Amino acid sequence: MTAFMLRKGARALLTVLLLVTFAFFVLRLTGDPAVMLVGHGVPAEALEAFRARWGLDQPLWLQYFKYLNNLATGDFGRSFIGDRSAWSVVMERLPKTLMLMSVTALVTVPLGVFIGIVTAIFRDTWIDRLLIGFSAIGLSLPVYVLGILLILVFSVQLSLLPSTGSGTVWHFILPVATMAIGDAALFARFARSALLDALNQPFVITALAKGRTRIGGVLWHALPNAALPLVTVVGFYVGRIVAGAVITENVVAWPGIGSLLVLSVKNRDLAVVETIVILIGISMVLANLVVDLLHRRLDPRLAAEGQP
Amino acid sequence: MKGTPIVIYLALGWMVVVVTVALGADLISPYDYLAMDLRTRLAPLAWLGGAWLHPLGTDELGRDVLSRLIQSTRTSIVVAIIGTAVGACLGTGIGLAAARYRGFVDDVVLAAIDFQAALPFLILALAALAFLDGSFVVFVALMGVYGWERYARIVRAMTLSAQTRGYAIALRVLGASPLHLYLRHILPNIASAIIVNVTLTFPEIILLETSLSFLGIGIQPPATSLGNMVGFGRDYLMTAWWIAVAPSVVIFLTTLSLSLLGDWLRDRFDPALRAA
Amino acid sequence: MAVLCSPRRTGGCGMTSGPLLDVEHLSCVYEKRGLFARRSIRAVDDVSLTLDRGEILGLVGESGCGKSSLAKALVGIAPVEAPRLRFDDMDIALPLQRRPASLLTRLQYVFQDPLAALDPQMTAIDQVAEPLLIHRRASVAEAKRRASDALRLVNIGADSEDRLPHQLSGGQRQRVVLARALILEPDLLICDEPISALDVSIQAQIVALLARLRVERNLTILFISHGVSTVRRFCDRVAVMYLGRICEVGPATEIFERPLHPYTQALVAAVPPIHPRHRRHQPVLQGEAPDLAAIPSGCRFHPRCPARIAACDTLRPELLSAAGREVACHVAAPAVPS
Repeated sequence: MTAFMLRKGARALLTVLLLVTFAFFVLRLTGDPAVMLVGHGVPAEALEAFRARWGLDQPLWLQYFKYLNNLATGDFGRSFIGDRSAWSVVMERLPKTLMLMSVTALVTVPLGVFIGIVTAIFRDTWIDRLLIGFSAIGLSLPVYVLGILLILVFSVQLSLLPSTGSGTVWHFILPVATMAIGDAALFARFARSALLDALNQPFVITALAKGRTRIGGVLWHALPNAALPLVTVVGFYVGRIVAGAVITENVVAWPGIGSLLVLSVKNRDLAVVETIVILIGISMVLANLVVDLLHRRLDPRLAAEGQP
Repeated sequence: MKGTPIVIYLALGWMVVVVTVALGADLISPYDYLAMDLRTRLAPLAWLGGAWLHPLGTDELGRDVLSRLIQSTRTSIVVAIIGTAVGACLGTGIGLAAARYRGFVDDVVLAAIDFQAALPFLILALAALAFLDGSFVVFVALMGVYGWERYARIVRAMTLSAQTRGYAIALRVLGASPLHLYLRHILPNIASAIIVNVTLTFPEIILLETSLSFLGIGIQPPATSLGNMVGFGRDYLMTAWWIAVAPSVVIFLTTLSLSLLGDWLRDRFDPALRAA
Repeated sequence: MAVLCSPRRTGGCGMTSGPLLDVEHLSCVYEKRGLFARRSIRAVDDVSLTLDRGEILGLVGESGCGKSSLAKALVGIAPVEAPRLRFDDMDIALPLQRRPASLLTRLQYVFQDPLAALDPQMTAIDQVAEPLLIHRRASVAEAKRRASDALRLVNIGADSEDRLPHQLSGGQRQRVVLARALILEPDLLICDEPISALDVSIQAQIVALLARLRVERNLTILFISHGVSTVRRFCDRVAVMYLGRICEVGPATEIFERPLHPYTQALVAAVPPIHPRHRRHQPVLQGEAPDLAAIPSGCRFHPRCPARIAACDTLRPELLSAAGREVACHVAAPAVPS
């Protein structure tokens, strides 16, 4: 087990390092940020001064090492806008995003799994077909399209919900619904197929033959065995919710790091973009690591063999 | 093809319409998508109060929504096709190289795959687009990079196992060169896996491109994409909701059709694979 | 067709001027790279043998004794240390990728699992035709025609030509593999356990086919198997391998009727005789076969040998002539008369 953890840990570290390097080089190699920010037609001295101010006049390699050094000490650079520390700019907005993501996850997963269970139990009836239809639609609809449509219906036409901002509980409903509908369909699909697979296993059929009712059979015997594929889906879901949050925050103007990211990209605010990318990167690498470890734990075949 | 549900025919039909529109955009478009007519700004849909001159209304600059929709469809489809093709070739080539040369090349490829899979591509794309110029070519190249790691992973794994299989060794002893082996034996055997992946990546690229364009970071004006239209239409939801809804409907129907077709295709491919 | 001739004597069995295959002191060493150390595994250790044109040499031994490695080394797909490896007087101590095409077509290889040896997506006839196309010896149409003939030769009818491998029976597949190996008209065919994966009744068919081909095409065959009874009936000469070395080699009838090496005796005795009354005294093989990573000193067989003497655990026995064959055993063929 420890050898496995070490290997996975090393790969994770390598990925993070690559990420950090990517964040640095791609953002600097392609175009001169000074010119992009200050604009063309500006006298050379002004450009020079700008570069000197932000350390952009030094050789790239030197910049890179200084950058790594800074990261290690927690200095993520300064935002071009307002000359504040990039870290504080990001941290300011982070709580809002975390709130949104947690509420969304808390709604999505139970909803999705529930729908999946229902369709598994009532398979091949009209309930099943209806729900599967909705799932198909939910999965194929892009997040922003759904968001726009929801705003149109509930905010514009019916004036029930606010379409922008994040002040009250009501403000949560639209963004959460937007993300939950698509991702619940994902969980529903997986829950359904995992359950159906498990239900077809000989031991479940035996249990059913022994006299348990259908619902009993499903819940008692099939669910624990569906845990493993669900862990896989959760790993997949983390990526989706991050991407979904970025888009959704922009649709409803939610003041989190998703909208900050897009704003910073448009403004070419180097440090903030780097900070957010690294932050997201590290969380995702950690999430994947946890999923891998859980996988090994839960799959008795892998654990018994002792082989990765 | 017996036993094919009606829905699949509908989906196929829709895609045929979409592709035809994409190919013949210049011919069927009633107006130039850039033509502005400020006198007829924000005209609603023809059957809801507007004129049949503009069946889907006009936008804030008086441009015909239908024409813009047609042009946008073409842009989005073309970008998706190119992106899918580039990604498939890139990924397959890299996967083959990793399996063929092993050692250092393989290690680099694996690290790159890990890296690519670590982050949602949207974030990587946003970061890259922050400092690349907004040109069309650059953007399409970025779409081409999407999904390469999935091809590479599959191709590498399948090639590795194929290389050590009996027929690979037997053919080498018979005098076949590695190239012959790859082209005539390994690639056909992994072709179905690649095709399955293509059916998955194509709609995802459409989604990605339209999302980025919606955010204002993808296709830039004057070029127009479906995502673009929704993005600009967002500001007019109250007054001229059709500007955003028309492209939304097209996007929805397209991704739904692709998803249904993809599932159906994959179901048909799989049993065929298993039988062999 | 047992021909009495010394395996070393060139001028062979009166058929050619020299042996077709001449191997001297061949070793096959696999390097295993662990995290901190390197382990060498000598799958084949200092093996010498010759093959004359038109003869069938059987190679028997337990699993893991190195017979497959030897075969792979001859073909060029295993790491080899060989002072002398000659095929029809050409030096072929080269890995496969460096061998000239002309050599490849003359030396072919058939291995154990026919299903794995065939591409699951190609029809039988296309696969048999392929070697001709690889070596550009025929046009596509011509190749197909010749493939059809080759398939006919191995009793695969026209109705089975266009089938995919998984639609053929095990015996049919192996015959397709044979046809493919033979279509280039090689001089030497190395068969590595060609019948082990087949039903017993099919085994006889394949062996009969090989015997017929040997006569019709003057094919030379190296037949590797762990099935002693088949080898006994089919091969002219036999070499017995144990843990990477040859312990006894000579005419098949001699070896199997009067085995001299204790290991050969055990192998022969392990085959149940047809008539229970012919059951003979079974020398018991003690212990388990050691693995190639920990080879015993002296004679490799000594830990399990019922006849061992003092010299057996220190001195490695060499192949010496005795009673019409060659044996590497201190007891059966002592270097110095005791």
